[in-house]
Amino acid sequence: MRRTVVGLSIALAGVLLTIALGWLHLRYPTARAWLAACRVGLALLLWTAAWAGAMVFVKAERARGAWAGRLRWEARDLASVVTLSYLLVFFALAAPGFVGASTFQLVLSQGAVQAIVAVGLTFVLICGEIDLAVGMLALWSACLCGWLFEKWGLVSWWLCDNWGGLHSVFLGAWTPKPEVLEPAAGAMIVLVVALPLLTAIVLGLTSGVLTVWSRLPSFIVTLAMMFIAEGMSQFLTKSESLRLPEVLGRVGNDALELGPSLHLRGVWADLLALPYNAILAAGLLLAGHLVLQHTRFGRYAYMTGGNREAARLAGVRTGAIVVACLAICALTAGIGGLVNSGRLSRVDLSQNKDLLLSAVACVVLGGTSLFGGEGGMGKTLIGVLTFNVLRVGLMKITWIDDMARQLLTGIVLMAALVLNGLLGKRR
Amino acid sequence: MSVAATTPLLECRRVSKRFGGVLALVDVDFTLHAGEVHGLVGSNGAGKSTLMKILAGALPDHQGTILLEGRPAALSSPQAALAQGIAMVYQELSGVGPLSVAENLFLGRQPTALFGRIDWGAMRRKAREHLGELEIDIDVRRRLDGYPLGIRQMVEIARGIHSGARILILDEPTSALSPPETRRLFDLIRRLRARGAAIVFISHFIEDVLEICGRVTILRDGRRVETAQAAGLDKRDVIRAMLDRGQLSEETGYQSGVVLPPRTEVSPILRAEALTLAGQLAEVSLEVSPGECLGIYGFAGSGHRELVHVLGGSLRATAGRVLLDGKPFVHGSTRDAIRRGVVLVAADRAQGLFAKAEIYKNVTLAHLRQCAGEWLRARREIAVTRPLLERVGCRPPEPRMPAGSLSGGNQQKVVLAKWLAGPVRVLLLDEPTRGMDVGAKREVMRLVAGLKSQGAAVILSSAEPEMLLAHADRILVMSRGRVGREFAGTVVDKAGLMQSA
Repeated sequence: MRRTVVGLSIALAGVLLTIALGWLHLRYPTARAWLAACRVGLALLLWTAAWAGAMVFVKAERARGAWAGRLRWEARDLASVVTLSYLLVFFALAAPGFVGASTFQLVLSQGAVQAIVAVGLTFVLICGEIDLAVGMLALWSACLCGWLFEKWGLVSWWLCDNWGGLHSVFLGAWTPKPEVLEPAAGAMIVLVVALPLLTAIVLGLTSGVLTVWSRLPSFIVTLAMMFIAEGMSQFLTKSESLRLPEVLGRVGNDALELGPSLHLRGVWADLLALPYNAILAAGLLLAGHLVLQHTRFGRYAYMTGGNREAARLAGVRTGAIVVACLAICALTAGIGGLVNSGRLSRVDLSQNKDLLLSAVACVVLGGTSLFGGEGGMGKTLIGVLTFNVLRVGLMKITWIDDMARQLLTGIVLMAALVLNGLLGKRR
Repeated sequence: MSVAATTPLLECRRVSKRFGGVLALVDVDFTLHAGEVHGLVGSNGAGKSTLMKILAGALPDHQGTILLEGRPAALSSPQAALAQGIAMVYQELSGVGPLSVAENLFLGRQPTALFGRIDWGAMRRKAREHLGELEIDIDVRRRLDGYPLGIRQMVEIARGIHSGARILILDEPTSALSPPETRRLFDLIRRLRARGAAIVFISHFIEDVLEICGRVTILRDGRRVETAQAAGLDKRDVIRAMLDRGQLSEETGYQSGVVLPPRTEVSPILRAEALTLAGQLAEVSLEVSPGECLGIYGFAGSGHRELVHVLGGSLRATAGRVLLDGKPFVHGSTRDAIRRGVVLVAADRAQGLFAKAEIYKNVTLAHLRQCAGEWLRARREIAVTRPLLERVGCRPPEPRMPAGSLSGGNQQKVVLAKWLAGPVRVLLLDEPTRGMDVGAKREVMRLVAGLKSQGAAVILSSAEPEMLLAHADRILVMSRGRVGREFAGTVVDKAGLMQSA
């Protein structure tokens, strides 16, 4: 009983003191570096005390049997949340301007594309495989979309020439005549967006079938697919930069402004302007979570990754599961590519080069195992938030050289992964 | 018992070991003389492996003294034990497969020439000499994993001897060997004995122990029960000493033979026709009826295990077919087999269990749609799991625990429980109780008997004659991929089985 009370009070005290210290620091900033460093250090210590108190509290309650069978998470699962909280505390004090609506917006919009790709990647990692082609599949989808969009005139001209009728309407590049073309325009845009996604799915299915049939590790098959997708993109665009439909631009850049409809102003209005791409990412994360936790397909995916042979002996069609997961991953990569390129309303070959590693970093930071059988969408979400809080936080620390920023991102990322690993092994 | 009145090579006095609250060994005395083969027997949990590990240097903090040639020895680590001449050959051999036999023999002690370069010629020459002394006649340049298990084991023994060990501890050396390989091993052991080495022979196979050993020590519950000359013991005595007084198990009664019931009149439910699998099975046909237990006996490599895997859809046969109720199976599809009620329980627990997943996820996996429907919810699965866990007797019956935290016997019960969630028309068992202690074995076979009485057909494949004699109604003996004899409606005993194989 005593330990419960002690633990809880330490936890609460730690949290309150940290918040108080943070508020004081932001209210009365100091130019003296050593003082700022002391405050930051003290805040981190208080935060550590808070977590320690929370752990003692939980352990005592568990020992008492208070939550028997009802608490689903272990300390292991919280490792990534702990890391995220430390980053938040650190940057709140160390980076001026971190605590504010702009950070929120930046994290959301930067993280959205990574989250979209990470959804599919989570499926693949859970079933025990990996998909190295996600970056290039994203690029390919965007390139095909741009190509279709720009050359649609030629394509439709060719189609109409052979099937008659609307040649005069679609002559040359895209010049819509609204009255005639509105309904057709809508259909056209849908095709221009859907076809690249379909091809991405086909490529994902190909990776999957080859992996299962040839018994090569998916690492190798998707590595080859990465080069194929990149090559196809180069071939298609001939190194030009292509335009993309407007709707993608809106998804990429605009936000759903809830503020005005709720009659709010200022900071709250800014906070409630949710970027469309973040909403899309949230939707995909939710859908992925529901599939993984509550459908048979999701359960089979976990078991395929957890113990491939046992799953096979239990009647799970492990080959089909692997193919399906790789196809899902390719689909989300395609969606991510379209959204990412949509932000610039153009696609060119330099985009999406670091998408693979960012997405993998997000998934792994979240705690999903690279070996399969463990993980989930919640963890991926935490991973995405952690990665982007790190990036945005470092961006806000303006006195770091741009060159050093990349280095620091890497160092802190490594520290976070090691911390995750250590915390994760303790159970 | 009179033994040579010289200083024993190894002497353990009042050795005890405690793990937390559990006493694994209590005041065990053990002596070993040069030129002696000393058997060590006991059921699981009796303390054999603990004593072994202490001698091998893996458990340095124990009570009691160990004397080597009369002087106290500190076995503080495996390297220290090896340096003092105690070598251990584990059941799962520790040779390095991709390296050659010569390299394995000299692992860590390669002969070097100028500047520390390895002298390959000298290595090969010395390896050939050494193996030749032990009359092991193999090409030392070939990779170790190109040789069968029996040869690999002998190479490992040779390595131990060559590194200067005078005491050799063999852990379950014959469990994976065929009778001819066992004979070769025993010849090697006799040669080593003649050279003055002392060997501790630890095994579950009492007949092997009684054949090769001079003296036998029996452990029970961490204590030494008896040490006697092997010549004066027979199997019944040993087993009686190993188990509690009242627990004479089925294993004892089968030297004289068992009467098999006559062939059942019920028409067969499962029929296999001319199953062929390249290199493993050749034209195997069989049939089994509901409520009947068909035993399949064979030594390692006879194909008896592959046969069961083919029947269960885990391996794809290259020719032939399997019919259930007259309708053929899809080749190589476990899903098809399971859907139709043909269930395969594999020998290796690692192949049947998802250690990191919760128990309820393990149990519901095979029949997920029936257990949980389209929308999975943990509560519903747990409600389905609890009665199944009770039925198999899993302790503790807590569905939310990760399956890997259970003990070995309980893990096997969880593996079985998953099949009970759906219809079982044919139960295929591949060495179902391997590595389990007597109590857990009994519980598992009781479950099997229960299923059999409910009308399932059971095919039990094992290399242990006792298991088949105790549970089978009809026995097929396999040898080199073909079905040899069939025993039904007659008297059969262990000798008869082993002779036909």
